[in-house]
Amino acid sequence: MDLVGTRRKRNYTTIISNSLKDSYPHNLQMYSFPPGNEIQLSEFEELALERLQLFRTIEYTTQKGLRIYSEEWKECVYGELIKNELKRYLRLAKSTDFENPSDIDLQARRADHISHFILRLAYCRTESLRKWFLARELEWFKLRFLQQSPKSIEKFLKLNNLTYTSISPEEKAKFYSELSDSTANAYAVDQLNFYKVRFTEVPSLIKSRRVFVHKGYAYIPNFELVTCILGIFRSSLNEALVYANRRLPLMDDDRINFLITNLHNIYTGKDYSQNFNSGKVGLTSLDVYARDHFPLCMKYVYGILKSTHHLKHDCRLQLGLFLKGIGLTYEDSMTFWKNEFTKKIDSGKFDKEYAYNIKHMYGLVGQRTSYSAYSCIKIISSNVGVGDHHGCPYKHWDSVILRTKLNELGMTTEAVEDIVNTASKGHYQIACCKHFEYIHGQQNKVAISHPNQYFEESLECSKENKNQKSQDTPKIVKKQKANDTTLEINDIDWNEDI
Amino acid sequence: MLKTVLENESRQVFAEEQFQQALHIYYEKLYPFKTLFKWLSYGDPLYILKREIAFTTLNDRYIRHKSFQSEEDFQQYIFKKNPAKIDIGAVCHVPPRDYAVVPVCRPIEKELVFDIDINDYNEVRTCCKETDICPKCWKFICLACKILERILIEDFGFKHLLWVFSGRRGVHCWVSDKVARQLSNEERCSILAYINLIKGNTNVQRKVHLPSKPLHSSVQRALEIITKNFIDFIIIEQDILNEDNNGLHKFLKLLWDCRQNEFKQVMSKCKTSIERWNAFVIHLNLLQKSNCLPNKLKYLKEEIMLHYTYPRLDMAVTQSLDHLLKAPFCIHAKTGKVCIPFRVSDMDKFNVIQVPTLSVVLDELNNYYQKQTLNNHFNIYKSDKNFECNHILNTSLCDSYNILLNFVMELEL
Repeated sequence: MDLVGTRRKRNYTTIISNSLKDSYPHNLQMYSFPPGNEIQLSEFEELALERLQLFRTIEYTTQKGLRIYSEEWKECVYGELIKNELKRYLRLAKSTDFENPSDIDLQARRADHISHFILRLAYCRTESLRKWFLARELEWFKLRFLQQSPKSIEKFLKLNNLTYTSISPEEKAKFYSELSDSTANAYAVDQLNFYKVRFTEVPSLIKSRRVFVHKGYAYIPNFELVTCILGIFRSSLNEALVYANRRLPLMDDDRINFLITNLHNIYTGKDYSQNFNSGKVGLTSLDVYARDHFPLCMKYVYGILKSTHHLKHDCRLQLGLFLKGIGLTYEDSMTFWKNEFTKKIDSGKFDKEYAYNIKHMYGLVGQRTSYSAYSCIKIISSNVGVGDHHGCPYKHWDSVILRTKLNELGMTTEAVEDIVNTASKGHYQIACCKHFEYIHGQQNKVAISHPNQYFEESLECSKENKNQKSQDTPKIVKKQKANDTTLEINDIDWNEDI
Repeated sequence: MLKTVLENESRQVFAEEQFQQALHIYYEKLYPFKTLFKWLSYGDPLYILKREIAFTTLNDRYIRHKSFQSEEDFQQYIFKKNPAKIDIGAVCHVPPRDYAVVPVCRPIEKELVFDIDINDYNEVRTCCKETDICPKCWKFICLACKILERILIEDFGFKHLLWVFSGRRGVHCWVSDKVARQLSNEERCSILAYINLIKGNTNVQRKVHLPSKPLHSSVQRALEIITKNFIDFIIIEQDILNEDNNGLHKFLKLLWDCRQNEFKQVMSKCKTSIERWNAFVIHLNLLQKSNCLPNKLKYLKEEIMLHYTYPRLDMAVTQSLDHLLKAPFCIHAKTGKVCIPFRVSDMDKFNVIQVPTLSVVLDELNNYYQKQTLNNHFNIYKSDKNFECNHILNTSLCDSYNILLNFVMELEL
């Protein structure tokens, strides 16, 4: 990207063309070439904010618990885009074809292109920012790709030099039964075209066992082609982001520095790696807090620790970082873990085997990064094995056990059934949210996306109840304000399962 | 000195100091540095230089971020430190030994590794508890290895697999193909998710849930392997449907709530495990025929069979590049057993109780020396340096050593 006023030599090709139609032949782009025209600073800023809003919208819609790319989800995204007056992106999101673009279409494609590159600059700086950005870009890309007509997809592949050759009829005949058993959603193998790609190109299809895999190759049906394209888009963008991060120090321009470094903070949720709350929670009050304000995932693990005086590594991390996030100081944390563990083992063994772990969480040893508390998405997508206790209760527990545990907490049968039902439909965060609402008797419609957020909301609720004041402002707004004062967010754990 | 140490050892008493001395002799005379080093360098001196090796000392200190330029360095370091355990880590972007200077050490490549431990089978085995292992429950591991090996070879096309007994209660598998070594964390996770069917923590009873569509070919193949052994091994030998060992109770819990009592009645009428299993299968078929079985339980029988036998992997080990894993031929500190490589094809003959221990192999070595001295007046203390690996051939580690050697030769370095 060439910014007016910088003298840095460009070392790659840019699109320099006066005809928008030549520059943007298709609605979908791989963003292989940076934009090369001049741009007003005001427009620069506007474009950046618009795209960020677009991404927040997509993320927010998914967090509501709607199944991603489903019809309801799409409708919801469209609705939000209209509400936020993001007309250009609405147009792009709805378009199904590339031919005969109007002027407005072309303007939208241009905005999409330029804003992508601005956000690249803003989001290349840390691993977690890159991850978040990458996840949103992929969602935005897939949303549009799925809308395209077959002809439009063909054109897109051709424009980007992507070719796939299908397997021979002989090979298809040889593996006929394997292909029909192992390909998810394939009802008529005869009518499908299969492509053979290296299994490393389609990790998401391998992961969910949706395709037949043989001798290192995945046999993908034509309707899964999007996964391949996404894989390519993903790895090239990831590479580009790492590259941009290395080059960023060379681009020092006061006019945009502020925007670029602070973009993500403008609308962001809260970061739980910095110990803002440090010292707010003492050891003595921990048991009470656990009883009243911990989400189920933490409450359960906390109980296990109290009763067995031991937790496995992943489990320690889940609880330990959460405790750090709610404001337990390092010293208190060490005392807390030591007290529990030494009921079963001697303190020498604790110092040798576990103390390092606690120090590590607080960034005092090893790589010295202060780790963030796990978000819901990270906990939900974590692997839990035999004998483990961590994870999301709504996802990782049998409904029988979930029901028993909720009953033990003294919830009404009706509430328990509602929560268990929601969880068994796969809406884990909503189930957690319902749990919250039943406890506090409030319908505050705030999506729970982080155990620490749950904790804070819960604390807030009980304070409100005490003061007997009703407060109508939704909490999200308050959060944003609090955040504008934080200058630098280094390590937001938007740890998405992409 | 060698002699006195060995004599004491033969009484199987390991005082700490004696263990130390024995270990030192083991490293000096038997440990296959050359082959190990050749494997880990894959014919590239730079590769091994960037490879992290970690050690646990005898007084339980953990030394990380070591790397070695040459086999001699590596050997000398081990002679000096006499470590209780050697761990192999990832190949990093800079030599890890510069860690003090460049404290960011990004792992780039590592073998794809798997770890199976017997204690993950505690809820399904009836013969042993906790970390104990016997030839009966070793069969769980055998079955797991057979299933895993076929997935790795047939589905993913890997060729270079090294299987190692982990010294006490499990096995490790090192997949060393170039493609495998270059897998990213995400790709490792995707392979793991593809293989893994056992899901859920202590709050889930039946750990396997299959979707109600046709079974994936890899699952079909696993079931074929399992079916061959299921009755003999699980039903008869493990006797999982016995009331005395709480097996029947556990089994009933795996079924869905509303029919548990019905099955209990049907199965309690029979006496032996095999009769009960047959009663279960017949009753299940009956329910299926009369459409009383919910669609999501279409594969209940298969799910139960997999629950008892499918590989239970330690996922943390496979998932990330960072994870360190014990090197082959280490001595397990608690059991004294040598972590020997083995072949899955010969695994049925592998007797977990009779794995050579440090004292046994040193005895064998001693016997061999004595014979040599008698026959040829061969002076053992002089000509040692260049014969490191020849000694190992005169002990019961010979076969295992040849497996490692073959594995390294097939890499065609």
